[in-house]
Amino acid sequence: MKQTRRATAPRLAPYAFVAPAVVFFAALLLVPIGYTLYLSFEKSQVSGLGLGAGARRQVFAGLSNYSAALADPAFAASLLRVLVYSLILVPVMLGLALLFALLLDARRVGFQRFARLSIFLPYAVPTVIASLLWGFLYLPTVSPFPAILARLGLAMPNLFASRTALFSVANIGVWGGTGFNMIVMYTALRAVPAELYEAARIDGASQIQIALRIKIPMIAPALVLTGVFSIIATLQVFNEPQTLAPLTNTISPDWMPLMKVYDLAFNDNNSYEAAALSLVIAAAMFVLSFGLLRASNKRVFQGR
Amino acid sequence: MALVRLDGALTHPSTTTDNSKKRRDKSRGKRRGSSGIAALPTAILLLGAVYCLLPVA
Repeated sequence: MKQTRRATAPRLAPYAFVAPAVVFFAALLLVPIGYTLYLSFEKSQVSGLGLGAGARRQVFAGLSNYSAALADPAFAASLLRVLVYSLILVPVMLGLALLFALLLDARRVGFQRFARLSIFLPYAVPTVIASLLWGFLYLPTVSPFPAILARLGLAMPNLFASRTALFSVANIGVWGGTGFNMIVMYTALRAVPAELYEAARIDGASQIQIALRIKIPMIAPALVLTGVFSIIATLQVFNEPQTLAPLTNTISPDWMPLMKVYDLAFNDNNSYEAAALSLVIAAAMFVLSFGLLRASNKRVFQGR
Repeated sequence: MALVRLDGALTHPSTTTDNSKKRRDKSRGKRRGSSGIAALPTAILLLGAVYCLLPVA
């Protein structure tokens, strides 16, 4: 009996060790996803005047929530908006991050430690706080910019106009995300073998040639990684426009896809359609992320 | 010749002669002992730092 217990204990030990992670993963991720999936096929049916107990019943809705969510013109508009937002944000943010990472890695550039800390600092600021900070800078009534621009003889543009609001929101994303991506790229640059630079210098390569022909190709995997993560993050934009929405009428409650989900669930009280829409967005993100990773793996990692 | 010099510099760094050091410094466009800071890259980096500190300040 004693021997059997001794023999089974080591076999159970790995399961005991992974059990907390599995339980939390199931309780906090799998169960909510499953419940969302269940809700997306349900709807609320009102009988009579909708008064009294039992007047509202949850019934099976089939795919009607999905068709309603996808047919909504506000969702199509928000989808287009988030794509444009992503097209503005990702190249600017990654371009700046790469530029700063190369400058931090370059010789004969001053104030590197100060700049590294300063550029990374916004990443430590929560997005809601960052949106409030920038929101107040955008508002002419409280911003110091109109006075500064007036001294230069310039007028402050309306940063919440329908044509500029997207850029204003993207600026917050650039401000908050450049530092993190810069650090990822800078770390990748530090891992490049020094003898490559040495060889390039002996061959007479300039600093710009070293950056373009050695540094950037060598950190291509890091660039792909930051690119994929940035695209995923930008398509999930929510905090910035949601925080700025009370400051302007330009940003409607369904301005971005996730805002539309929030609006459906908590303003329209339609959790069923919100669940369907969130699953559609999740599926699109899943396909996009895996598609991008597969495509980039073939090109950058040579299928390794 | 460059290969021979590169090999020597990498595998036996302590045995590199003063002449080779001078040559390498020359190829970097830098005089020995000088620690000149490039103005434009530093200015770009500082502009980035100012942009990031602006709302916090």
